[in-house]
Amino acid sequence: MFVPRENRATIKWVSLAFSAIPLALCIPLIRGFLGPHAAMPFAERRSWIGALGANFFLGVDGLSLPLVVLTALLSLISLVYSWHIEERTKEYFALFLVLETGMLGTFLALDFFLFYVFWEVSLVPMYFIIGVWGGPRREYAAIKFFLYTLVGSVAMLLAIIYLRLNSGTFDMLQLAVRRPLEGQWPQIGLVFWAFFLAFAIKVPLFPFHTWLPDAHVEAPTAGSVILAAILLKMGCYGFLRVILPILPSAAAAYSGYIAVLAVISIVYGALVAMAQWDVKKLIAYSSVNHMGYVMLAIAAACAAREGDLTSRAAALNGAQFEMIAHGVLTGALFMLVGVIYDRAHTRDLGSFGGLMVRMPVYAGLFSLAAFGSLGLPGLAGFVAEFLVLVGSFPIYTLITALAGIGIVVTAAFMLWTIQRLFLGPLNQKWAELKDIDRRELISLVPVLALAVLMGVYPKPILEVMNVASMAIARLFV
Amino acid sequence: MLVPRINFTLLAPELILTVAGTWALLTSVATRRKKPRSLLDPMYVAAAGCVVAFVSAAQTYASIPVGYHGTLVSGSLAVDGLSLFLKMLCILGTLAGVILTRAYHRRMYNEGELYSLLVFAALAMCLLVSATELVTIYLSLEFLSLVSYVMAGYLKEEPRSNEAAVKYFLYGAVSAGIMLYGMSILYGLTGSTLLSEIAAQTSGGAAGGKAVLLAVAMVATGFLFKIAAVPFHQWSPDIYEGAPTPVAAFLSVAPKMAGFGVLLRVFALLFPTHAPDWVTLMAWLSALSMTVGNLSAIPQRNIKRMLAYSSIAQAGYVMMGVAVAGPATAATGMPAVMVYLGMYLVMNIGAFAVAIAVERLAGSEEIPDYAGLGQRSPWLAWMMVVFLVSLAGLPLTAGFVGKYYLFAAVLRFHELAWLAGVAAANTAISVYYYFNVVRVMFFAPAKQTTPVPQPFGLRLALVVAFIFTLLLGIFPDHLLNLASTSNHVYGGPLPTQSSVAPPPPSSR
Repeated sequence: MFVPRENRATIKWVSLAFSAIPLALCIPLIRGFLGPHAAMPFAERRSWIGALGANFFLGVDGLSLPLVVLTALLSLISLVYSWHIEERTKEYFALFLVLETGMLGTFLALDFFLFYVFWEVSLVPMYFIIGVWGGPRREYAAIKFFLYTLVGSVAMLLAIIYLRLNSGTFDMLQLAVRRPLEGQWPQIGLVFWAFFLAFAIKVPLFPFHTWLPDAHVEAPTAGSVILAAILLKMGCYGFLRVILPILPSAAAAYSGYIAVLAVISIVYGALVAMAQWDVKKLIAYSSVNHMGYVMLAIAAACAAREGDLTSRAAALNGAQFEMIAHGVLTGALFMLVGVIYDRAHTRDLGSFGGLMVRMPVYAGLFSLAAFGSLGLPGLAGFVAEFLVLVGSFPIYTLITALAGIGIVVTAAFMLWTIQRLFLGPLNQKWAELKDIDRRELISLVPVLALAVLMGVYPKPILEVMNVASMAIARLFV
Repeated sequence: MLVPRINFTLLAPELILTVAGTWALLTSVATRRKKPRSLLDPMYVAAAGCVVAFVSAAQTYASIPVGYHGTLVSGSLAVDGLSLFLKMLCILGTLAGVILTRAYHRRMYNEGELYSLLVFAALAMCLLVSATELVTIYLSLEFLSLVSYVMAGYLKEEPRSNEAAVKYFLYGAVSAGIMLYGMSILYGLTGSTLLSEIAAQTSGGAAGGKAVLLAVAMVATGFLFKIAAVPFHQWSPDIYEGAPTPVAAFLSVAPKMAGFGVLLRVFALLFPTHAPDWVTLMAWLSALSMTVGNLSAIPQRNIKRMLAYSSIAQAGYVMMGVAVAGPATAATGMPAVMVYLGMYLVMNIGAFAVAIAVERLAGSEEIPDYAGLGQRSPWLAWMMVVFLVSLAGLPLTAGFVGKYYLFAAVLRFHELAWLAGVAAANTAISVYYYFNVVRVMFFAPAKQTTPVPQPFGLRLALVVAFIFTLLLGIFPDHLLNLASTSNHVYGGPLPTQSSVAPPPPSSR
């Protein structure tokens, strides 16, 4: 960033151009995946730190491609949405690009050392984004987010080192083939819990979720979008990329715990969300609920129980699809909350009402995103939840049935939110509110269009995911 | 009587430092009342002495074959990988101290002599890291201590500085006494002051037994005092706070490295039989140091006190490596210690250099006065972020690579895995107070926004430390290889390639 700090417009356009590059680079990747599938069609390896055996090894497969595309897309959109940031613009956009690098790197890295480096690189910029541009309690939220994630990641570092000492490689694909700790109890258990801690905090799985409402509420809108849409997915991705393929027997042994925690996340997240009057907090807790579905599906896929390949693969497809669907829909919801907060400077549900009259376009978009989030057929959320439930039901019948409570509650609080915001008598205080503007439309429309597309025609995405799902599911039958 | 034949080329760094220190002392006397110029400026003399000594040590290092070890002066000084590697680091630390002293905003009475004292401290450290004999160890350690006491009290009109010098002296005298007592017991048990001789005598279990362990523990007291490890750490926050900041910067790195050098040497040579006791002792002291250091650092408001407690914790991390640097496992622990010390040098000097710059800027050592530094001088603030991130051990900085090495060294031994867990938890604790500074710098509003120009020497030190903190974090290969080929000590086990990092499989 060699642009002078006064020149805000140039800074914004330069950042936008830089973040458009990864998205443009995704196009050949997507084309590559539409043809016949190779195991790892795009990979790049360079030697990095010879003395440590760390390589600069990146690659894309069916597991990472959707997440990479999602990251590139939402980063670009968040930058567009952040166009109105006038305070310390240069630092904001620079940090955002570093953040994007960290996130893309985490999903692309196939070398454990590199994976850890990118994982941590995504941490520091988010700390600054929350802490400098966040809400009133931003300092507390920033350090809480940072410390929680860090506790998990140092545990992961020990596990990575331990795997390295026992296998002599950082190569994640090699490790998935060799599975160096298989059958070595209790070491494999300890390594499992270390990884579990790192990923479960990131997901976040109950009871590690307490950082999430603070961070989401205090972060600036674009920060919340990235947090919810992408950073949480790094945790789920960790389960799918690391724990299931490299430690399958430990994953199978402990899958029951994961399933129970997942269903608690689903029901508890939904109930707490229903009790919220702050819209942003409500959506934050709904993230806990949605991530619960992902974790339930992951637990079902690796469960040490009767379960055929089809249900396990369906559950994994559901988990991956939910990751993308939640990213798109919750990203949109956070932006929509940002829209109303920028105008009204409050997010208190009790103070709104009847906004449909003043802001018809806004109301329409918000309802679309909320319906998607509660799982209305025809939108992305439905496909995801359907697959998760279909896949998990034969394996964890009782737990999946309990998760059904979460669906009902989610529907209830989403509908109530719509009702309190848009229906009823108009609060005269907000009679002057303007409808959504061009910048906000440019950021929202592509995301919501994607949500509709994914709901109506999920086949191409599912085909990409299915290759990875089948490969993982085969380990457990 | 025969004069022992001495290979003077191997002693070149020490001789150069002696000449430079004396020269600096003479010039400072000669120019006391005048504004010194070029060749007569003690600062330039001291800096040039350090540079030449560093080059000569590096040349010696390059010229000796890998695994070479020999002795000088009737076996009392060793020339081996460990000593040369640490000599280079200590001299660099001294050079940083010299440059920072000139950049310090407070002018001190007889400042010229401070430069010569720094050079003499470098000489003492060079002797200490190569000493292989008890009397030499004691003399060089005391030499270093005496010089340090004077430097700590260099702000003569400042009561805190005087207090620092007296405290340092009292603590130092006590620990030196204990160390000397331990040495006399060792001599009594074995009849020799040469470490190799003592090792030979005690390895069969013939002499001593538990008495040897006790005696060596007493000797180690002196080293632990130098590295400010728990329970010999109480002096350091008061001394860092009271001493002139550049002296505190120097004391926080160079003497610690020398202390670790001699600790490693003693550990690697002695105790083939008592290794388990020693490993347990070191592991506990390591865990205590990092925990006590980190927890005490949290409430600190003064940046120098905070960095003092942080460096106690850092010493705790390094001691993880010492715990696994015994005779049987030297190949694992020793390179890890050496790598971490190298990383620690750049990042800690960097953090202290920022503290000196902020003292010029805000006239204060209090952390709340860092408020708004991110807007007032963004470069300075972002450099501080990098140094603190590195001290916390997060990736892409030197501290991470160092910590990775230590973790890997300890995790190799299942019975010490708990220590890695303690260190991991401590990493999280340390982030809290390191990032407290970041929070103040960036999240709090600025009180003033006028940028203050910094002197050239300070900017140089900052930029060099900054570049190396990142460079060693991203491309550490060179230092890692250097450390893994230097892990041989005179009289110790045969050198082996570091087994922390076996060469990567060449094919996919």
